[in-house]
Amino acid sequence: MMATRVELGTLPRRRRWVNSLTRHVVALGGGAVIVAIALIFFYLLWVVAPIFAGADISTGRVYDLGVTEPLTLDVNESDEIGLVFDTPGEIVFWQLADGQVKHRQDLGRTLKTVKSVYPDGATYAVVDTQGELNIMHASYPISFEGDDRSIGARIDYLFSDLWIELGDVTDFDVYYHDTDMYVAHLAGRTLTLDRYRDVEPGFELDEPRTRTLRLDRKYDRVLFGPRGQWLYLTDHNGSVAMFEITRSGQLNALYQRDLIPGTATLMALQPLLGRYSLLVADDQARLAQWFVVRGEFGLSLERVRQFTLPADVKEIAPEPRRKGFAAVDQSGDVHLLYTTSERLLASHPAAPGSRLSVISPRSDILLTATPDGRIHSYTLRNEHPEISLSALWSEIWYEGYESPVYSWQSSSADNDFEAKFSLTPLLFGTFKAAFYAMLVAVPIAIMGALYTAYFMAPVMRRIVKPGIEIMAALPTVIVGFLAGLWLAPLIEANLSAVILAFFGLPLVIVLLSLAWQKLPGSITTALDGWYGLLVVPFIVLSVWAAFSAGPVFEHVVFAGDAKRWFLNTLGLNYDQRNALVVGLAMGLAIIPSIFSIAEDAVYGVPKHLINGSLALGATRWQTLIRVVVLTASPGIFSAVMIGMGRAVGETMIVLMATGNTPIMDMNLFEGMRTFAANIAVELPESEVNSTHYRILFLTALVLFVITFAFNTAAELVRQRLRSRYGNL
Amino acid sequence: MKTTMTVKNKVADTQMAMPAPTGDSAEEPSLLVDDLCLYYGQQAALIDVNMAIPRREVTAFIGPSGCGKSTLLRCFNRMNDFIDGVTTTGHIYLEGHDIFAPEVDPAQLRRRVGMVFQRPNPFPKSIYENVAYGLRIQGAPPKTELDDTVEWALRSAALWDEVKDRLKESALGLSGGQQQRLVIARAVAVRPSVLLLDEPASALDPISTLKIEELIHLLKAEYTIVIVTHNMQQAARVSDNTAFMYLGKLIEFGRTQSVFTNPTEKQTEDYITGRYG
Repeated sequence: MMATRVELGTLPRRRRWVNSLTRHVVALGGGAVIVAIALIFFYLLWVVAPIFAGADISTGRVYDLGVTEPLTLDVNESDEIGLVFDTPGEIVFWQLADGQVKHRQDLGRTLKTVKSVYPDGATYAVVDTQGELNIMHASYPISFEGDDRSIGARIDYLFSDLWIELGDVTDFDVYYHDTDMYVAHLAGRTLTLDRYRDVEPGFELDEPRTRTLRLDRKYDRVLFGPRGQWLYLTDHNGSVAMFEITRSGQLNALYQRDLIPGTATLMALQPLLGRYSLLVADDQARLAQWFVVRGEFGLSLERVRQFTLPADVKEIAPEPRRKGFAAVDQSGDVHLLYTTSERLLASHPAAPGSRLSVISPRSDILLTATPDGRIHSYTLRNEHPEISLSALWSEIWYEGYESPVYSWQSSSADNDFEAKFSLTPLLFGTFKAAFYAMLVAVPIAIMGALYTAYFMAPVMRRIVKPGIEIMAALPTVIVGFLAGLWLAPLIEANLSAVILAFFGLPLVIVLLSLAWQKLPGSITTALDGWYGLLVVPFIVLSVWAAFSAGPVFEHVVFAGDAKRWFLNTLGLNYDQRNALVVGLAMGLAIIPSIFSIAEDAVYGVPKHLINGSLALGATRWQTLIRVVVLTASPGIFSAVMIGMGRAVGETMIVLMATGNTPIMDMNLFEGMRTFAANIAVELPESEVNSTHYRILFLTALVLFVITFAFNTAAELVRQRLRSRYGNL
Repeated sequence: MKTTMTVKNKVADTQMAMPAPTGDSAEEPSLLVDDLCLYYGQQAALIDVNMAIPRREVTAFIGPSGCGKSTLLRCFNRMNDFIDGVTTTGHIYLEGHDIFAPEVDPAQLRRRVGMVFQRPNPFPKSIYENVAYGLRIQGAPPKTELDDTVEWALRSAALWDEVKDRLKESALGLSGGQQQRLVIARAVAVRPSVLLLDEPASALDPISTLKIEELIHLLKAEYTIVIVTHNMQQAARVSDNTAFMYLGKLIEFGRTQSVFTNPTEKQTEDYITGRYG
């Protein structure tokens, strides 16, 4: 009696324990999957979020360095030391952190103008009241005592202490790069260009070669253009003339126009980093970006975009490393703006009478001087000004382009390059690759699935189905490698043969079917289900025939050169690595997924439905089309969607076989760049936490959202289809 | 012409020799089975079956599981063609025409010989489209004619009043009994001359079963009905003739009343009285 009760008691308890354990393990597994996906999503979001955080300006310190009438301010590369030139000829370096003076040097001359030499940083052109010029270079030696890092500051003549006589000039500009130094100066209506060759720091300058040009009107300012290729001359009415500097030093008039409408007055004009763009402010609170466009009739200046600010701008300070700038307006506010993204990022009141504004190389400090000789600093928090919704998705008019374009070009060898972060070409490329891959894969996979599940002899099916499924295990890097290095050159060399095969192959299959109809019933019945195998040699034969007949076909139809024919007749350019290659290779890679799921769906259509249809006098073909496909449609739809998901996210094949050109063109014979390939290509070279880095994460997020949206939509459609057609 | 003649003669010859139910057999039989043998591979499933199934009557096939009654039923519309390794010898004549003749198109045959399966198998389409299916695969008639035929078929299957307001809804929403009557309507819509019912009520509840049985009574005025059933009461209730099969052989075939009350064969008696099966 006791024993029985114990037995009855123990068993259910153990079973309860196992049940509960199983339930919890399963729940934990399911929960962990959801948590993992949510974590990926939030991690991506966390990296991306700062892009959209915006910018702000806050008031920093005020430095009283005992300078009178400062002429130029600057900040060193590491944003630690400030530098000021004042009128009595004193140069002061101070620590931005605590205002302590680091170094003070007196030139012993009264200075008139100090300018930064373009494009070299930390080099200054100094002109005194006598009209004499010298070039000075600031250096910031770093020394270590143990682990303590200390930074010094000194300023030297770049070449020698021999001053160059310029005379009484209205304005001047200095270009110094490598071993060339150009000095351009304006005096009245005379423009002079001095060219110093083979200059070397520490050595005296040789005599320059000088060119002078009589101008037809007066200008107030002279500026070197990019790489010293041309000169901008501007006057106080906002009129700009461009002069080309030829290799021999000749000055040729290039172009002239008014940047300000007749009714307005010029308030400020500054070149943007790289000097392709001029920022022009007028007295109607407008600030426009103009840049040089190389058009049909040579160079011209175009107004590309315009900002409207709360008050007239009186001073513009471009960022030294980016295409942004600060603008100080008449009401005393300072604004941060960015050209590419067309954003007014932040505004903040500045000290009254602020001038000589300069942004530090790291774009986190703004210095201005006030008339009392004090220097004010502002802290800028402006990490990712390049990005706005329009910069990511719309057509943007980038510097040097004739018109707005969608473009992805994240980096260049140039430092003054305008990064192009349009995601549209990548999105386009992603869907282009997926489209062509699906175009190849969907018909083959689904028809293959229908044939295998419905018509094929069971013995053959038992070999064919796992055979195709095992193709899914083929590493895509191998598929991509073969596509890029074997298939792409093969197709390029035999383009006409491929086209011939494309049309010939279906024709051969249709002809075979017709021939099959003519065969006596005894043979067709005996071979029923093996038709697929019989076709194989014919497919191989017709591909071989197409490749043999290719040259003749090319000669007859394409006048001897298929690629040229496509270019001349249809305007289609041919790249070796193109959508055709990707379509075939990626199509091959996604066929197993689509095939396998679709085949299961078709095979799973209940026998009694098929029999019901056949018993009503339907042929097998009618039964397939009207009952089997209909009933299997949720499964087939799933298969297509899963294939689509793979095609969108596939990386290695597109990386190796597309050429990775971020262009927007549906042309079958040109490449593309997809999100996934772009991440693979650029992430390893991207600086951590830079805008570029975060944008790559953004593309990952977009990819994630696309896949998520696709799967969700697919699942919803599938549920609806299933409640209508499935469940039998 | 010549073939028809020989077939007619053949019919006349065989009619004498084969067991035929007594009674009203002045008419030509609807289905005539002549020395039919069927093999699954090497295994014989039907052995020398001979029978004449009268027109516009209900004929029931009874027998223990595996006796070949469903296999025989499937021979009448050649559904066995879809099973691998099936070979048949002998003949079946549908109204005098050999259904195994090489020029016969099995799809055409199945339009003349409708079939209803054990498990209701409506297609995942609307009620209307289910009934119209058989007509559509033959090339759809004009809309009004199709409407009329669908209504007529549903009325024939005693389902019209229950579904007339929801013809466009999915057939999968119907109850099992309704689904089975829908499947009968679907079979009737193509106007066959023979209806084969393979245990049509075995998956249904008693009330639905009763309705199906009533329907069989109504339908026999128009169609020759062959029903396979495991339920002997059902066979007794609905059929005019009963065939008892055992191990692939036709043991006894006669008027239902006489088979059930006065079986001539010992095996039939044993089965009916429940000694095996």
